[in-house]
Amino acid sequence: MSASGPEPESRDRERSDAAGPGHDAPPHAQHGAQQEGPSCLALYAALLGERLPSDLLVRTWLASEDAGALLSDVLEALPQPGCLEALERIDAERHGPDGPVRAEWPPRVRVAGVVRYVAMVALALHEHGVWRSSRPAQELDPVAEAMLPIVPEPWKASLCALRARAQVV
Amino acid sequence: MPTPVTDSFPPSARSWLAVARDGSPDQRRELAASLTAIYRDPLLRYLHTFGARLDVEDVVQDLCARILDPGFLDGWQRSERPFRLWLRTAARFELMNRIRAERRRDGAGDDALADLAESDNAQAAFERAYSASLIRSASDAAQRLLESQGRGSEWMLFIEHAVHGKPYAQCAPPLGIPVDSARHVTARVRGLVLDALRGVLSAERVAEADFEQELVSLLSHLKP
Repeated sequence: MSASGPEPESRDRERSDAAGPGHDAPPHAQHGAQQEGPSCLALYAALLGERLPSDLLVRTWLASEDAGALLSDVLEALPQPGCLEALERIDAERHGPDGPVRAEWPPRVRVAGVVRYVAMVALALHEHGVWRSSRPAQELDPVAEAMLPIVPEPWKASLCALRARAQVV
Repeated sequence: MPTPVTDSFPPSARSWLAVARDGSPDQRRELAASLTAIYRDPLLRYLHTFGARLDVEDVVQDLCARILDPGFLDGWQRSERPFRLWLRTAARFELMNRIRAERRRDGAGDDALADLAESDNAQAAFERAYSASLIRSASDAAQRLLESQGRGSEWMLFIEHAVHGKPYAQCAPPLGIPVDSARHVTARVRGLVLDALRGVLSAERVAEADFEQELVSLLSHLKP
Protein backbone atom coordinates (compact mmCIF):
# COMPACT_ATOMS: atom_id res chain seq x y z
CA MET A 1 0.00 0.00 0.00
CA SER A 2 1.26 3.47 -0.78
CA ALA A 3 1.51 6.14 1.88
CA SER A 4 -1.43 7.95 0.34
CA GLY A 5 -3.70 5.01 1.07
CA PRO A 6 -5.91 2.73 -0.98
CA GLU A 7 -8.04 3.55 -3.96
CA PRO A 8 -11.76 3.70 -3.29
CA GLU A 9 -13.29 0.29 -3.58
CA SER A 10 -16.78 0.44 -4.99
CA ARG A 11 -17.58 -3.10 -3.94
CA ASP A 12 -17.37 -2.04 -0.32
CA ARG A 13 -20.23 0.33 -0.92
CA GLU A 14 -22.30 -1.93 -3.06
CA ARG A 15 -22.27 -4.99 -0.90
CA SER A 16 -24.85 -5.30 1.77
CA ASP A 17 -24.28 -7.06 5.06
CA ALA A 18 -27.08 -9.45 4.33
CA ALA A 19 -25.32 -12.34 5.99
CA GLY A 20 -26.11 -10.92 9.41
CA PRO A 21 -23.91 -10.37 12.44
CA GLY A 22 -21.50 -13.12 13.30
CA HIS A 23 -22.60 -15.30 10.41
CA ASP A 24 -19.94 -17.90 9.78
CA ALA A 25 -17.43 -15.75 11.60
CA PRO A 26 -14.43 -17.22 13.39
CA PRO A 27 -15.28 -18.21 16.96
CA HIS A 28 -13.55 -15.21 18.51
CA ALA A 29 -15.58 -12.89 16.29
CA GLN A 30 -18.83 -13.94 17.89
CA HIS A 31 -18.06 -12.63 21.34
CA GLY A 32 -18.39 -8.95 20.47
CA ALA A 33 -21.25 -8.20 22.80
CA GLN A 34 -20.31 -10.64 25.53
CA GLN A 35 -17.61 -8.94 27.52
CA GLU A 36 -17.20 -8.19 31.18
CA GLY A 37 -19.20 -5.28 32.55
CA PRO A 38 -22.18 -3.83 30.77
CA SER A 39 -22.59 -5.25 27.30
CA CYS A 40 -22.05 -3.02 24.31
CA LEU A 41 -25.61 -3.72 23.28
CA ALA A 42 -26.95 -2.49 26.64
CA LEU A 43 -24.80 0.65 26.47
CA TYR A 44 -26.21 1.61 23.06
CA ALA A 45 -29.71 0.93 24.34
CA ALA A 46 -29.04 3.14 27.38
CA LEU A 47 -27.92 5.99 25.13
CA LEU A 48 -30.96 5.74 22.92
CA GLY A 49 -33.42 5.44 25.81
CA GLU A 50 -37.00 6.00 24.75
CA ARG A 51 -35.97 6.48 21.14
CA LEU A 52 -34.98 2.85 20.86
CA PRO A 53 -37.45 0.90 18.69
CA SER A 54 -39.48 -1.58 20.75
CA ASP A 55 -38.17 -4.56 18.83
CA LEU A 56 -34.55 -3.68 19.60
CA LEU A 57 -35.38 -2.72 23.17
CA VAL A 58 -36.98 -6.10 23.81
CA ARG A 59 -34.22 -8.03 22.06
CA THR A 60 -31.59 -6.15 24.03
CA TRP A 61 -33.31 -6.79 27.33
CA LEU A 62 -33.97 -10.42 26.60
CA ALA A 63 -30.25 -10.86 25.94
CA SER A 64 -29.35 -9.42 29.34
CA GLU A 65 -28.86 -11.12 32.69
CA ASP A 66 -32.23 -9.76 33.81
CA ALA A 67 -34.12 -11.64 31.11
CA GLY A 68 -34.96 -14.73 33.16
CA ALA A 69 -36.37 -12.75 36.07
CA LEU A 70 -38.32 -10.45 33.79
CA LEU A 71 -39.90 -13.33 31.89
CA SER A 72 -40.80 -15.11 35.11
CA ASP A 73 -42.47 -11.98 36.46
CA VAL A 74 -44.46 -11.46 33.29
CA LEU A 75 -45.43 -15.03 32.56
CA GLU A 76 -46.44 -15.79 36.14
CA ALA A 77 -49.03 -13.03 35.85
CA LEU A 78 -50.55 -14.67 32.79
CA PRO A 79 -52.65 -17.77 32.33
CA GLN A 80 -50.53 -20.77 31.42
CA PRO A 81 -51.06 -22.81 28.24
CA GLY A 82 -53.68 -25.45 28.85
CA CYS A 83 -55.51 -23.42 31.48
CA LEU A 84 -58.29 -21.80 29.54
CA GLU A 85 -58.90 -18.30 30.79
CA ALA A 86 -61.49 -15.80 29.72
CA LEU A 87 -59.61 -14.14 26.89
CA GLU A 88 -62.20 -11.41 26.81
CA ARG A 89 -60.84 -10.31 30.16
CA ILE A 90 -57.28 -10.36 28.89
CA ASP A 91 -58.31 -8.51 25.80
CA ALA A 92 -59.93 -5.86 27.97
CA GLU A 93 -56.86 -5.67 30.18
CA ARG A 94 -54.62 -4.76 27.33
CA HIS A 95 -56.49 -1.54 26.97
CA GLY A 96 -55.96 -0.77 30.65
CA PRO A 97 -52.90 0.56 32.48
CA ASP A 98 -50.85 -2.54 31.66
CA GLY A 99 -52.06 -2.80 28.11
CA PRO A 100 -50.59 -0.93 25.18
CA VAL A 101 -46.92 -0.12 25.53
CA ARG A 102 -46.16 3.54 25.85
CA ALA A 103 -42.93 5.19 24.82
CA GLU A 104 -42.64 7.21 28.00
CA TRP A 105 -42.55 4.15 30.23
CA PRO A 106 -39.18 3.12 31.70
CA PRO A 107 -37.32 0.47 29.66
CA ARG A 108 -38.14 -2.46 31.91
CA VAL A 109 -41.83 -1.63 31.94
CA ARG A 110 -41.87 -1.22 28.17
CA VAL A 111 -40.18 -4.58 27.77
CA ALA A 112 -42.55 -6.20 30.23
CA GLY A 113 -45.52 -4.72 28.38
CA VAL A 114 -44.36 -6.02 25.02
CA VAL A 115 -43.47 -9.45 26.38
CA ARG A 116 -46.83 -9.70 28.11
CA TYR A 117 -48.67 -8.72 24.96
CA VAL A 118 -46.74 -11.19 22.80
CA ALA A 119 -47.36 -13.94 25.33
CA MET A 120 -51.09 -13.22 25.39
CA VAL A 121 -51.32 -13.25 21.61
CA ALA A 122 -49.37 -16.48 21.48
CA LEU A 123 -51.64 -18.12 24.06
CA ALA A 124 -54.77 -17.03 22.27
CA LEU A 125 -53.52 -18.23 18.91
CA HIS A 126 -52.37 -21.52 20.39
CA GLU A 127 -55.60 -22.31 22.18
CA HIS A 128 -58.24 -20.58 20.09
CA GLY A 129 -56.62 -19.96 16.75
CA VAL A 130 -57.71 -16.32 16.80
CA TRP A 131 -56.73 -13.08 18.47
CA ARG A 132 -58.49 -9.82 17.97
CA SER A 133 -55.55 -7.56 17.46
CA SER A 134 -54.91 -4.42 15.52
CA ARG A 135 -51.23 -5.32 15.37
CA PRO A 136 -50.17 -7.75 12.65
CA ALA A 137 -48.65 -11.01 13.78
CA GLN A 138 -45.56 -10.19 11.72
CA GLU A 139 -44.88 -7.25 14.02
CA LEU A 140 -44.83 -9.54 17.03
CA ASP A 141 -42.71 -12.24 15.46
CA PRO A 142 -39.27 -10.71 16.24
CA VAL A 143 -40.19 -10.48 19.91
CA ALA A 144 -41.52 -14.03 19.97
CA GLU A 145 -38.30 -15.16 18.32
CA ALA A 146 -36.19 -13.42 20.95
CA MET A 147 -38.28 -14.88 23.78
CA LEU A 148 -38.33 -18.43 22.50
CA PRO A 149 -34.90 -19.60 23.75
CA ILE A 150 -35.52 -18.50 27.34
CA VAL A 151 -39.21 -19.03 28.10
CA PRO A 152 -40.27 -21.97 30.29
CA GLU A 153 -41.19 -25.11 28.37
CA PRO A 154 -45.01 -24.72 28.64
CA TRP A 155 -44.84 -21.42 26.75
CA LYS A 156 -42.76 -22.63 23.83
CA ALA A 157 -45.62 -24.19 21.87
CA SER A 158 -47.62 -21.00 22.15
CA LEU A 159 -44.79 -18.84 20.91
CA CYS A 160 -44.09 -21.27 18.08
CA ALA A 161 -47.76 -21.00 17.12
CA LEU A 162 -47.38 -17.24 16.93
CA ARG A 163 -44.23 -17.52 14.87
CA ALA A 164 -45.84 -19.98 12.48
CA ARG A 165 -48.77 -17.66 12.09
CA ALA A 166 -46.50 -14.66 11.56
CA GLN A 167 -44.80 -16.39 8.67
CA VAL A 168 -48.06 -16.94 6.80
CA VAL A 169 -48.44 -13.77 4.77
CA MET B 1 9.54 8.67 32.01
CA PRO B 2 6.51 7.01 30.43
CA THR B 3 3.71 9.17 29.14
CA PRO B 4 0.70 8.98 31.47
CA VAL B 5 -2.46 7.63 29.94
CA THR B 6 -4.86 10.52 29.47
CA ASP B 7 -8.60 10.44 29.38
CA SER B 8 -9.22 12.35 26.21
CA PHE B 9 -11.23 10.81 23.42
CA PRO B 10 -10.58 11.75 19.79
CA PRO B 11 -12.88 14.75 19.46
CA SER B 12 -13.33 15.05 15.71
CA ALA B 13 -11.81 14.34 12.33
CA ARG B 14 -10.65 17.95 12.07
CA SER B 15 -8.64 17.67 15.26
CA TRP B 16 -7.14 14.36 14.09
CA LEU B 17 -5.68 16.16 11.10
CA ALA B 18 -4.40 19.04 13.23
CA VAL B 19 -2.67 16.65 15.62
CA ALA B 20 -1.29 14.57 12.76
CA ARG B 21 0.29 17.64 11.16
CA ASP B 22 1.27 19.86 14.08
CA GLY B 23 0.75 17.88 17.28
CA SER B 24 3.47 17.15 19.81
CA PRO B 25 4.84 13.59 20.00
CA ASP B 26 2.73 13.01 23.10
CA GLN B 27 -0.42 14.26 21.42
CA ARG B 28 0.25 12.12 18.38
CA ARG B 29 0.93 9.06 20.50
CA GLU B 30 -2.24 9.64 22.51
CA LEU B 31 -4.41 10.07 19.42
CA ALA B 32 -2.89 7.04 17.71
CA ALA B 33 -3.64 4.99 20.83
CA SER B 34 -7.25 6.21 20.90
CA LEU B 35 -7.83 5.39 17.25
CA THR B 36 -6.09 2.06 17.53
CA ALA B 37 -8.36 1.15 20.46
CA ILE B 38 -11.37 1.65 18.21
CA TYR B 39 -10.25 0.28 14.87
CA ARG B 40 -7.69 -2.44 15.63
CA ASP B 41 -10.13 -5.17 16.62
CA PRO B 42 -12.54 -4.64 13.68
CA LEU B 43 -9.61 -4.76 11.26
CA LEU B 44 -8.31 -7.95 12.81
CA ARG B 45 -11.67 -9.65 12.60
CA TYR B 46 -12.11 -8.48 9.03
CA LEU B 47 -8.74 -9.81 7.89
CA HIS B 48 -9.27 -13.11 9.71
CA THR B 49 -12.24 -13.80 7.43
CA PHE B 50 -9.91 -14.06 4.43
CA GLY B 51 -8.30 -17.13 5.94
CA ALA B 52 -4.80 -16.07 4.84
CA ARG B 53 -1.88 -17.94 6.35
CA LEU B 54 -0.10 -14.67 7.01
CA ASP B 55 0.02 -13.06 10.43
CA VAL B 56 -2.88 -10.59 10.18
CA GLU B 57 -1.96 -9.12 13.56
CA ASP B 58 1.26 -7.94 12.00
CA VAL B 59 -0.64 -6.38 9.08
CA VAL B 60 -2.96 -4.48 11.41
CA GLN B 61 -0.10 -3.47 13.71
CA ASP B 62 1.73 -1.88 10.78
CA LEU B 63 -1.40 -0.12 9.59
CA CYS B 64 -2.14 1.27 13.06
CA ALA B 65 1.46 2.50 13.29
CA ARG B 66 0.83 4.60 10.18
CA ILE B 67 -2.65 5.74 11.14
CA LEU B 68 -1.51 9.37 11.62
CA ASP B 69 0.69 9.54 8.54
CA PRO B 70 -0.38 12.88 6.99
CA GLY B 71 -0.30 11.32 3.51
CA PHE B 72 -2.62 8.57 4.66
CA LEU B 73 -5.06 11.00 6.27
CA ASP B 74 -4.93 13.35 3.26
CA GLY B 75 -5.81 10.43 1.00
CA TRP B 76 -8.73 9.59 3.25
CA GLN B 77 -9.97 13.20 3.19
CA ARG B 78 -9.86 13.30 -0.60
CA SER B 79 -11.75 10.03 -0.79
CA GLU B 80 -14.72 11.45 1.16
CA ARG B 81 -15.30 7.99 2.55
CA PRO B 82 -16.04 7.00 6.15
CA PHE B 83 -12.74 6.47 7.98
CA ARG B 84 -13.41 2.86 8.86
CA LEU B 85 -14.06 1.92 5.21
CA TRP B 86 -10.84 3.66 4.21
CA LEU B 87 -8.94 1.72 6.87
CA ARG B 88 -10.63 -1.53 5.91
CA THR B 89 -9.66 -1.16 2.30
CA ALA B 90 -6.13 -0.20 3.30
CA ALA B 91 -5.87 -3.33 5.43
CA ARG B 92 -7.07 -5.51 2.60
CA PHE B 93 -4.60 -3.96 0.16
CA GLU B 94 -1.78 -4.45 2.65
CA LEU B 95 -2.73 -8.10 3.07
CA MET B 96 -2.79 -8.57 -0.71
CA ASN B 97 0.62 -6.96 -1.07
CA ARG B 98 2.11 -9.24 1.54
CA ILE B 99 0.61 -12.32 -0.06
CA ARG B 100 2.04 -11.20 -3.41
CA ALA B 101 5.46 -10.67 -1.89
CA GLU B 102 5.38 -14.08 -0.26
CA ARG B 103 4.41 -15.74 -3.52
CA ARG B 104 7.22 -14.02 -5.34
CA ARG B 105 9.65 -15.28 -2.76
CA ASP B 106 8.25 -18.78 -3.20
CA GLY B 107 8.37 -18.45 -7.01
CA ALA B 108 4.59 -18.93 -7.25
CA GLY B 109 2.24 -17.08 -9.64
CA ASP B 110 0.92 -13.64 -8.78
CA ASP B 111 -2.77 -14.51 -8.49
CA ALA B 112 -3.29 -13.16 -5.00
CA LEU B 113 -6.18 -10.96 -6.03
CA ALA B 114 -8.25 -13.91 -7.14
CA ASP B 115 -7.57 -15.66 -3.86
CA LEU B 116 -8.64 -12.72 -1.74
CA ALA B 117 -12.31 -12.54 -2.58
CA GLU B 118 -14.21 -11.01 0.30
CA SER B 119 -16.52 -13.51 1.94
CA ASP B 120 -20.14 -12.62 2.64
CA ASN B 121 -19.54 -12.35 6.35
CA ALA B 122 -16.38 -10.21 6.17
CA GLN B 123 -18.10 -6.85 6.28
CA ALA B 124 -20.60 -8.02 8.89
CA ALA B 125 -17.78 -9.22 11.14
CA PHE B 126 -16.06 -5.88 10.70
CA GLU B 127 -19.15 -3.80 11.44
CA ARG B 128 -20.05 -5.88 14.46
CA ALA B 129 -16.59 -5.51 15.96
CA TYR B 130 -16.52 -1.80 15.10
CA SER B 131 -19.87 -1.23 16.85
CA ALA B 132 -18.57 -2.97 19.95
CA SER B 133 -15.16 -1.31 20.14
CA LEU B 134 -16.59 2.14 19.45
CA ILE B 135 -19.08 2.09 22.33
CA ARG B 136 -16.57 0.38 24.59
CA SER B 137 -13.95 3.06 23.92
CA ALA B 138 -16.43 5.90 24.37
CA SER B 139 -17.81 4.53 27.62
CA ASP B 140 -14.33 3.72 28.97
CA ALA B 141 -13.23 7.28 28.25
CA ALA B 142 -16.30 8.75 29.96
CA GLN B 143 -15.81 6.49 32.97
CA ARG B 144 -12.11 7.38 33.29
CA LEU B 145 -12.87 11.07 32.97
CA LEU B 146 -15.47 10.95 35.74
CA GLU B 147 -13.26 8.86 38.00
CA SER B 148 -10.34 11.24 37.51
CA GLN B 149 -12.62 14.02 38.74
CA GLY B 150 -13.72 12.04 41.77
CA ARG B 151 -17.17 11.48 40.26
CA GLY B 152 -17.01 7.73 39.74
CA SER B 153 -20.33 7.31 41.53
CA GLU B 154 -22.02 9.19 38.67
CA TRP B 155 -20.82 6.57 36.22
CA MET B 156 -22.06 3.83 38.51
CA LEU B 157 -25.46 5.50 38.74
CA PHE B 158 -25.68 5.64 34.95
CA ILE B 159 -24.89 1.93 34.69
CA GLU B 160 -27.28 0.93 37.47
CA HIS B 161 -30.20 2.99 36.18
CA ALA B 162 -29.84 3.35 32.41
CA VAL B 163 -28.22 -0.02 31.72
CA HIS B 164 -29.58 -2.27 34.45
CA GLY B 165 -32.92 -0.48 34.72
CA LYS B 166 -32.92 -0.01 38.49
CA PRO B 167 -35.09 2.82 39.84
CA TYR B 168 -33.30 5.90 41.19
CA ALA B 169 -34.78 5.38 44.63
CA GLN B 170 -32.97 2.05 44.82
CA CYS B 171 -29.60 2.86 43.27
CA ALA B 172 -28.91 6.55 43.95
CA PRO B 173 -28.83 6.71 47.81
CA PRO B 174 -26.20 3.98 48.26
CA LEU B 175 -23.98 5.96 45.87
CA GLY B 176 -24.42 9.15 47.88
CA ILE B 177 -26.47 10.82 45.16
CA PRO B 178 -29.79 12.47 46.13
CA VAL B 179 -32.74 10.92 44.29
CA ASP B 180 -33.86 14.42 43.28
CA SER B 181 -30.71 15.08 41.29
CA ALA B 182 -30.21 11.53 39.98
CA ARG B 183 -32.02 12.20 36.71
CA HIS B 184 -29.77 15.14 35.90
CA VAL B 185 -26.65 13.16 36.78
CA THR B 186 -27.65 10.33 34.47
CA ALA B 187 -28.42 12.76 31.66
CA ARG B 188 -25.01 14.39 32.08
CA VAL B 189 -23.18 11.06 31.91
CA ARG B 190 -25.20 10.04 28.88
CA GLY B 191 -24.21 13.34 27.26
CA LEU B 192 -20.52 12.63 27.91
CA VAL B 193 -20.70 9.28 26.16
CA LEU B 194 -22.71 10.72 23.28
CA ASP B 195 -20.18 13.52 22.80
CA ALA B 196 -17.38 10.99 22.66
CA LEU B 197 -19.28 9.04 20.01
CA ARG B 198 -20.05 12.19 18.03
CA GLY B 199 -16.35 12.92 17.61
CA VAL B 200 -15.63 9.61 15.95
CA LEU B 201 -18.87 9.49 13.99
CA SER B 202 -18.00 12.83 12.38
CA ALA B 203 -15.02 11.05 10.83
CA GLU B 204 -17.41 8.36 9.71
CA ARG B 205 -19.34 11.01 7.79
CA VAL B 206 -22.42 10.74 9.95
CA ALA B 207 -24.39 14.01 9.88
CA GLU B 208 -25.79 15.32 13.16
CA ALA B 209 -29.31 14.82 11.86
CA ASP B 210 -28.54 11.13 11.30
CA PHE B 211 -26.80 10.58 14.64
CA GLU B 212 -29.60 8.73 16.41
CA GLN B 213 -30.32 6.58 13.39
CA GLU B 214 -26.63 5.68 13.28
CA LEU B 215 -26.75 4.57 16.91
CA VAL B 216 -29.70 2.32 16.11
CA SER B 217 -27.75 0.94 13.18
CA LEU B 218 -24.66 0.30 15.32
CA LEU B 219 -26.82 -1.42 17.92
CA SER B 220 -28.46 -3.58 15.27
CA HIS B 221 -25.05 -5.01 14.33
CA LEU B 222 -24.78 -6.33 17.88
CA LYS B 223 -28.28 -7.62 18.45
CA PRO B 224 -28.57 -11.25 19.38
